[in-house]
Amino acid sequence: MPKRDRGESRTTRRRRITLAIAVAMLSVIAASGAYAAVSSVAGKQAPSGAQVAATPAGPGRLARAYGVNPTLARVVSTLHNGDIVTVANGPSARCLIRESAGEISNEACAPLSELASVRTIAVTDECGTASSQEMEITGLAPDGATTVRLIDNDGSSRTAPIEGGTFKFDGTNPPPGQPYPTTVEWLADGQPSGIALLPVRDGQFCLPTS
Amino acid sequence: MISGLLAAFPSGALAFAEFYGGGSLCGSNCYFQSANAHTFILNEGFSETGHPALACQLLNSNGVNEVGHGGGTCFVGYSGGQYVWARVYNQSGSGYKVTGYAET
Repeated sequence: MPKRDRGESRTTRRRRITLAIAVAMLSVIAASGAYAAVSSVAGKQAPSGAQVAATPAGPGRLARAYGVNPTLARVVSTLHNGDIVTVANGPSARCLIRESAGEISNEACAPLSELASVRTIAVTDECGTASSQEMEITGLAPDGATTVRLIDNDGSSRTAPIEGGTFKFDGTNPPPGQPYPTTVEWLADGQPSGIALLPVRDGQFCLPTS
Repeated sequence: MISGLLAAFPSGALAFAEFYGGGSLCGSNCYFQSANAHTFILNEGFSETGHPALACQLLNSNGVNEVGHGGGTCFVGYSGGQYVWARVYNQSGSGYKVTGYAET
């Protein structure tokens, strides 16, 4: 009987050791995965859509996927529709976060090395029958830019100042057949310093509801 | 493909959330739509295979039509309280894997 007890005890010990090794291996694998996720931001790369989608849901999901704390955002400006434009900085990325009625309604983030990319620009169309057909274009600006120019497809343009590293244009949705914005151009001390195409083209500003 | 996930959130937080789409989406204004209409307040879209021009929409047949465009991701909010459908469009001209996420 004592031998049998000792035998069961050895088996139990082996199982415990095996379990401990498995847990340790899983911990290493999990830590590696976590490091890989963090290193994509630390390495100044934008997280993939899969990484964004895997980030826990809730306010500021995109910002959190970039390693930016959305609760530390500071208010930069207010849009005509009442939305508040805020900016949050992280170690290697920056986010523009719009808030509507106290809720985050839009986010645009980029690594600090890609502040002049299309992913920093958000265009919102208020197309409902009860809305005032307003269109808001907001975005981050590269460091050094002092002014931004919004250029329409017919070559006409308007400018706006850079405020807190962001820009905004309040307007209305372009009616079919009328000029529509296509590009933003950043200016540093009056000189062009870069451009980005808007993430929307002719015929895409107000989408159908059928 | 991910679809129709009822997420459990702490009391006082989100009441309902749904992933929709998740597969390849053609680029000629093709879209994925949520399984049902809800009192969604936020709709998000992501591409797992690049940074195409995406558009997120919250809409209903009662005149609600809010649209947000972005590069690689898109967001749109709605605070009117009506039941709305959520859609995510690929407007890039090329096919991409796209997922939508809407929450109440």
